[in-house]
Formats: sequence, structure tokens, C-alpha cells
Amino acid sequence: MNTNSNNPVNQNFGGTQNVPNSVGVLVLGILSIVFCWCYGIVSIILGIIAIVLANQGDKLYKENPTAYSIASYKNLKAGKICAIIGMSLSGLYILFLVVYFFIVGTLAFGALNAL
Amino acid sequence: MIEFIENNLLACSFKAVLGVECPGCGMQRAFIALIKGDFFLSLQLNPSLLPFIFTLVYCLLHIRMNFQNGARNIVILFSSTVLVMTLNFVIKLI
Repeated sequence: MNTNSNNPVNQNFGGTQNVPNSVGVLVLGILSIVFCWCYGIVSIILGIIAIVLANQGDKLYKENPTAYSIASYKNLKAGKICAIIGMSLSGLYILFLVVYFFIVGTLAFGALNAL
Repeated sequence: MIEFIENNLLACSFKAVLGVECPGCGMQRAFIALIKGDFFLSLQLNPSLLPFIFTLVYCLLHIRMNFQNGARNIVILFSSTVLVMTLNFVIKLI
């Protein structure tokens, strides 16, 4: 079987199967930014699901590249990137919250001690 | 249906805690304005809603019609949505 990926015919068609969950990963990745700011944890959960599914699909693809369509693999990759971006923003927000509460807490504690 | 959404908006935890509008703030109101047809109000409330809707529509079309560079374009669209969000947030702060 011709596995040379430089072959222009294989470039866009490859195998006939879709990498499992590639569409799900793509949609989850894009949705992860919607819930980024409200209760940041939602976006992190979505992102984790998307990345886990993406890694599973990636493993399957690497084991048998010619069985899956390249387009669906690209979708998987794109979804994973979106999920990572969404998750990092959400993580930043949570970090920010923690630091904020820490500062406010310390100040309040200091004020209490000064009394 | 619009009244239902209008009466049940999610409150923003960002604003409740920190007192400033978060990057996603106003997206729900912007969406309602868009449904009602008020294009410019939607842009005013949250400019990143339109790029986001465009990204989502493009994604759905890509799933159906499988564009040539679809996956790469989605990442570009997504990143520009995030960029608009961040810029909007920073500008609102200043």
C-alpha cells in the first residue's frame, strides 16, 4: 500500500474513515471560549474532554495513518489547538481570581491584626 | 422566546467579584440585540460576538462541506475572535 504522504492524491483523501470524535473535538474547542469567563471551571472541563478525545484520536491515527481521512485528522488538530487556547485563558482567569482573593484576604487579615 | 432569554441571563461572576466587565461580558445581550436586528448595538455591547458567530457558522459549514483549508482557517478565525475579545477588554479598561 502506498503510504507516501507526498503523493498529491493521498494528500487530501487518505483513508475513508473519519478519525473518531474529530467533529466533537472541533466543536468543543470552539465552544470552550464561550464559558471562559463565567465560572472558569466550565471551560476547563470542556477543554480537558476535548484534549483527551483529541489525544485518543491522535493515537489511533498514528497507529494506522492510511485508514483515516487526513481532513478529519486536521479537524482534530484544529479542535485541540482551540481547546488549548480556551483552557489557557480560563486558567489565567482562575489564577487571577486566586491571586485577587489572596491579596484581599491578606489585606483583611493585616487590618484585623492591626486593630 | 426572546423574553425568556432576556429574563434569564447568566450573571457574570467576573463583574460580581472584580467589578470590571469581563472579556465575555455583554455577549448574551449582544446576541439578543442581534436577534432583534440591532446590528450596531450588538457591536457596541460586545464586538467579539460577530467574529465568534462567524467562526461557529464557518465551523458548521466546514463539517458539512469539508473545505480545503477549513481546519487551518478555523484556527485563524478562532484566534482572531480571541484577539478581538482581548483588545475589547483592554480598551474598555483604559
